[in-house]
Amino acid sequence: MSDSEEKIYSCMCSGNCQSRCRLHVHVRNGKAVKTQMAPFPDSRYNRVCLRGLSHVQRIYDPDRLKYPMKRIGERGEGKWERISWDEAIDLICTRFKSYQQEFGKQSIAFSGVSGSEAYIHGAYSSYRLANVMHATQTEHSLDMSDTHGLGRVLGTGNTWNQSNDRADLVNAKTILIWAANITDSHPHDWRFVLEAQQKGAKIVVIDPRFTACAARADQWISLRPGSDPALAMAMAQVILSEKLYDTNYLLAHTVAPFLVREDTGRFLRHSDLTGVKPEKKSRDPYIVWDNQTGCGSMLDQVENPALEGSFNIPGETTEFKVTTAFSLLKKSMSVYTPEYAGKLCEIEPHIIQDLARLYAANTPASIYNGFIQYDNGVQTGHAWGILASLTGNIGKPGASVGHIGRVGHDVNFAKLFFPEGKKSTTIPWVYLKHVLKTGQFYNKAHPIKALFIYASNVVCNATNQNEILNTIFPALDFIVAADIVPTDTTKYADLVLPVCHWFEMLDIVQGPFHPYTAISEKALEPAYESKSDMDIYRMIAKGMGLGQFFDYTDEEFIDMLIDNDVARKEGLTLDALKEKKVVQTLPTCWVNWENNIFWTRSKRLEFYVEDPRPRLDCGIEIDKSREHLPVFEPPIEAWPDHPLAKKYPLVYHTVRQRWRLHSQWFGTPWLRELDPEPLVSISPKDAKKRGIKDGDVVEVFNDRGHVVLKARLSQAQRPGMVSVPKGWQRHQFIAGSYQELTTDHVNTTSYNQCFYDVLCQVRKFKTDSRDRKKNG
Amino acid sequence: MADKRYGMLVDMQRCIGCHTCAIACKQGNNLPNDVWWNRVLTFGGPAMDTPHGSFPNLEMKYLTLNCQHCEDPPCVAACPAQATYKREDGIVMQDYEICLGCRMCIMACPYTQVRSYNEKNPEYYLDFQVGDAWVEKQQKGTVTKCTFCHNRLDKGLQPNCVEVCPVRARYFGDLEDKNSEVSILLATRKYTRLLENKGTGPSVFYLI
Repeated sequence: MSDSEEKIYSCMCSGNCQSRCRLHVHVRNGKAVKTQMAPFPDSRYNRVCLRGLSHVQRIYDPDRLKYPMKRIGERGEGKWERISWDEAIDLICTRFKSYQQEFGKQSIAFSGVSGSEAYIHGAYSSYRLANVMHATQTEHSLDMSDTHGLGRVLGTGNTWNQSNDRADLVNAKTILIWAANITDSHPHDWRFVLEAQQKGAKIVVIDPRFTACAARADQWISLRPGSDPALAMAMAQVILSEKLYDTNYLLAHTVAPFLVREDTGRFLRHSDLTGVKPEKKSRDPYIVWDNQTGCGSMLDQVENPALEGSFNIPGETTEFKVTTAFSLLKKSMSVYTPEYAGKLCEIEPHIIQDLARLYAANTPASIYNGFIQYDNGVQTGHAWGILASLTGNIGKPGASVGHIGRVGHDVNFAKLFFPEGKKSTTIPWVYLKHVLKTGQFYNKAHPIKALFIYASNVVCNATNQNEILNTIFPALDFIVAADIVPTDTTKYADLVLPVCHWFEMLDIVQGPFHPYTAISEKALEPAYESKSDMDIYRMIAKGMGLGQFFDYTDEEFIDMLIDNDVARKEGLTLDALKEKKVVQTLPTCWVNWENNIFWTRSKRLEFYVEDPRPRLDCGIEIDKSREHLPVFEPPIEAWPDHPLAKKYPLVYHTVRQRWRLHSQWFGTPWLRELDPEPLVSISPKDAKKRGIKDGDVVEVFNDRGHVVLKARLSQAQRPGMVSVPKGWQRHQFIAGSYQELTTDHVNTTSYNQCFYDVLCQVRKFKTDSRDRKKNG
Repeated sequence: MADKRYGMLVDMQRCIGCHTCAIACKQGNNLPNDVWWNRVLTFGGPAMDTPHGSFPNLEMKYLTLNCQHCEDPPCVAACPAQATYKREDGIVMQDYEICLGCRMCIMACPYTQVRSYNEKNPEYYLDFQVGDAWVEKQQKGTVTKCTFCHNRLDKGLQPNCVEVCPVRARYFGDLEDKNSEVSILLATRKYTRLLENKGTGPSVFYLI
């Protein structure tokens, strides 16, 4: 065959690894035959991985869902009847209408996660319909604990806008890779780390497990699982006690000199002193202590504010006892000495001291952090924010902390999502069980009868699988699941809808791990009877009498997002996308917070959180007094003095490996040739105690459930913990599922699924426990 | 001296064992099921992704392994049919049309599993050819192996495995050209070749 018969399309790999690789999809005779790394304007960002090169096997997966199917047996029994799209849409609309009539508009819930991060057909595809239906939407409850903690300091709230561009890592002199297995989960960032290392930067990996990046780092620190906040706070303690902090930065760009009222825990403001309420809260100046005059004055009038001290400041009616935020920080961190934290973290105190000195002195320093998967993640994120505040390691080339960074600043999501304003109710996934049990949300009746699941595989990926299958799903009358292939989730649905593969539909995709916005062309016709996500919502909307909101083509929806002045200024238009495929919408190596203006109320880094609030408002109060500054709380379960630790002495990690992205690519044959089955990684020491040899079939279990698989003895595994790879479907284990063991504990501050905050035991698998498989 | 000698460099300091090269080769060359021309081994560990040493004093490195395209290839000497031959540019080729399937080349090659023998008709997951349009069709009863993507070189492209490397650990070029990237790297970096003592003169160099 000659090359000329091959057509090449510009598509985007839009999974949730954040890399958003541009691919050339080669099509011969109407079939995709190759996905290839496609260039970005700046070749430093060119990227592809083993998954991106395996798409042809996903597109032509013989197991692809081919047509709508209605359940005819019991849920989960696997008996289906093929129906037409007309019948499927009619069934959905009839049910949705009757539930909404009887139980209220909120009784339909849409639940998507991150199956695709393309803007039209992916994770956000249901938002428009959910809003015009006044329905419920579940919020993913993922990766949001440390994000929330650091987000409080930055003021970025529920977003991931925290870090610099990953390519900016080359400018760092110190990089702390903290709770991140970059070489498996973000391989494209590793070359920037290597470049920094080649220029002399010191790379420290902080991870209980030994990983490929730990192997390449200058230093690897294995800490006790879940002790991360103690390590970060001890670093802060060292920086404070050794005066390694940047006083000028603290005074100019953080709340360090702000005065905290002893009575309320809030910053002292001008209106407190005058007793006159300001016209606008934002126009109520903060009061600081003026070292020159020896009295409290408005921030912008004081040249030399006090960093430390407690003061009595008279107001019109009363005297205020106040202390600077810096002094409060110093006091609260003082207990976390390297010796004390060293015991919690199982790290030698001098290692903590050296780490703190390195981060504070060998600058610019960046913290490349993963998502903290323990219940105490908010404290870790908060403490990272404190470290950045103390040292000024933020807002500069090579100085960065936190997740993802800038994306979507030029996209008008509101126009697409909320044509009539925000009308849907958002409930965090971890809180859904409670709402279903009580029928209430925010102290109001909130029955939910139907769940429409898309761009996600919750049964496989969300915590406490048995609770999903035995409590959440039975509480729902009607479950629809839309996906590309059958999954753990579609198996338990009442109606299954076949969705297009990414390259069978037109979409728009942005960074975050590169500075570009790109079109993802429709390279192929939809396989079988599959339809794009948005086409499914168009049909449902029409059936629900809401068709007028969906009278737009995919191109018109894309245009709706980028038809704004910010985008136009960047040259981001539909025509430009169609012509060039890729438009640069952020500078290369962009630095976040360069002007040191943060999204907090004070525009400064608020390491002291004046008014700590839960990440999402479910109408539940939190104890604010414990959250102004971080306090070490052990993980909710995975800690040696937990009562369950005697019975279940091992910490249980569900780790992300290169072979899958969450649960996607679970059945891709090329990848399965290399990685044919799940293996639990256990240290030889723990294995020996249990009489387990490499390759033995073992059962990993706790009170919530079990998983049966072969053991891999590995020195990479820290003794006292085991790791099971994430993303395998139930049928790929000998019995059970890795997700049966995880906890659905609700943290009412973070509302985050804490995947690693789990204890378990491991034993050799015996035939009598094999009976459990028959029972599911 | 030949005008040109192709060589491949793999930087073991950079390689993270991600297998992107292995999959790029598998896809690009439309390799049959269970055939891998480019494999990724964990160097020193007993199994994939397991380190050498004992916790916490550990080391882990990866070694990608494909046909070494030797200067003095024992496979060529062993082939009774001249199906295995060395091109002037150093690429060791396998002609499926001539190959008898005797597997003398596999026995002669000192490197493990860089060649595969198609005992049966090659099997594929998909019923159409994937990868680059120009790759030779694999045949029953013949031996196959890495070709340095010779057809891609003819078109001025890099081998599939080199093009994709996420950490930029793979380099390809002309060893005879002193100004080529590969020659410059070999002049400035420490390197090793596999089983130097066998005297085969591999064209694959591992930067260490």
